[in-house]
Amino acid sequence: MPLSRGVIPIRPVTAGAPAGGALADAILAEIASALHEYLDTRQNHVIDLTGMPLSREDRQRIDAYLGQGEVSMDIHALVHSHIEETAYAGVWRVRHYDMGGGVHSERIEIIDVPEIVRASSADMAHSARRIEALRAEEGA
Amino acid sequence: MTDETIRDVLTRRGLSRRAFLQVCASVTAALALSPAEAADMTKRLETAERPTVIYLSYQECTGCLESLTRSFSPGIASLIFNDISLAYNDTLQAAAGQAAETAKDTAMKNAWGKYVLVVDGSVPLAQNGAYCAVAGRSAVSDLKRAAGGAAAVVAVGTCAAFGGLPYAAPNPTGAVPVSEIVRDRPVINISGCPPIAEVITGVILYYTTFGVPALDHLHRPMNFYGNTIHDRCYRRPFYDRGMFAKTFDDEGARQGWCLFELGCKGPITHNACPTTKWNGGTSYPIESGHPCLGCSEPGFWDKGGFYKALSTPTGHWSRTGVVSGAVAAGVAAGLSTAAVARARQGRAQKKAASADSEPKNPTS
Ligand code: SF4
Repeated sequence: MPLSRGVIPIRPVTAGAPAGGALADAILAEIASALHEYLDTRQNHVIDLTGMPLSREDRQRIDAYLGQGEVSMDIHALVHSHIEETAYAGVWRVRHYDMGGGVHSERIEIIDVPEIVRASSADMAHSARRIEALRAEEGA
Repeated sequence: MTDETIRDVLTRRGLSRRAFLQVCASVTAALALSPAEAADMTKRLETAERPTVIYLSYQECTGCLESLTRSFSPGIASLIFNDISLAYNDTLQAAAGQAAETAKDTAMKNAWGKYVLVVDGSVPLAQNGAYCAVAGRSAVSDLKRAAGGAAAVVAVGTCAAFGGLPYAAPNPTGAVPVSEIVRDRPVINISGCPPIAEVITGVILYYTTFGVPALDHLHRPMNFYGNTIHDRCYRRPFYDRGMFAKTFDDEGARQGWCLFELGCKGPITHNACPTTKWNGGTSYPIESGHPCLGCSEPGFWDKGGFYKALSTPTGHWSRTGVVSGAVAAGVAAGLSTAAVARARQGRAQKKAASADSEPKNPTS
């Protein structure tokens, strides 16, 4: 038996998070106005949840409000990113995981397709060069 | 040598723009930037030159470097710092002796006038600086020379920022902080014993893209040091209700009540621990059941005992104007300490705004 359990009784309790879900309501309002803004001006909007002091209730409310939509995607680049559309078209949840599997960035994006999903022209040019090199090699 | 951009380095390593955007998301989240600032930062990072960082150590314990390189799984920030920008560091390099000195000279010469000089450790002045010497040169003369070619100096850790442990009474080596030696260029203090790794790398990247960040009255970046631990502490509701743990193993301690009476210095300590947390976002000391020691504030070791409540008269706190009687009246004290913190924050912000004409990044 580990010494600590035998000698010192350890009874971990989960610390209570501050009550209230006021932030969740504010975020929902922000999403609604960002959708209008996007339709009018094509200006995308990002709400970064990472550093927000969200209570457990806030999180539950955000999850319940946003629900799940039709699309989900995974990116395996430098780190793993998981992207899913919410029940609202054009409202996305984007989570970037660190190398240990924890979430190091969590955001809500209001845009048609999150920017990180699109293949960039530079990467596509690089792909073309790689395919040409491969063909040259095979032909040689 | 430094004409490459951060994006170029990633491309050279076969990483896509998506990887670059993951880097940007990590950095902007760590810096708690607004959406507009974050978009601006992504745009700037695309074309920003790879920063050159020269890291020198004086009177220190290497805890800051440990924090930076070891305490979290290889994260994006450490990748940027270690693999992309670090041009010289005494402790991490394989070279020794003359080869090491030559490497340092070359790194400085290649980016003279442009590099970010990171210093950890205080600088002893007693006995003509004889208490700390590297390659036959005293720390003070070494620092003056290296600062001569730096665009900005980042003092990492409480030793470099405020003198730290060597500065503790009776300060036998005559230790002083970096800001007392370097007076002719921006010095950014990233205090903490040690500071949070993400804060160190975040500030360097911020500097690369935007220049010197807004600083508080102790020259610490407002993004990370604008709030007290107490402002953002999840045990705060217990403080406000006057529910305090009295010993480390009583019912209050088990229930996660406020640690004020066990000596918590959270109400007067400015740092990002409750939000950024430690070890890749795992937790922070109060979350592990230990009161805050106040390690990011000047003179934290000389303040009369880590386990004495702030309200206990010790004779050591006269300079800081601590609210007393908080134990008896938790709610009132909660309001007043928060008010003190906010007033200080307001002052610092005003000061930062008026100092907005600080030199911007010379490399962009
Ligand atoms: S005194 Fe310390 S433990 Fe209590 S609420 Fe403030 S920071 Fe948290």
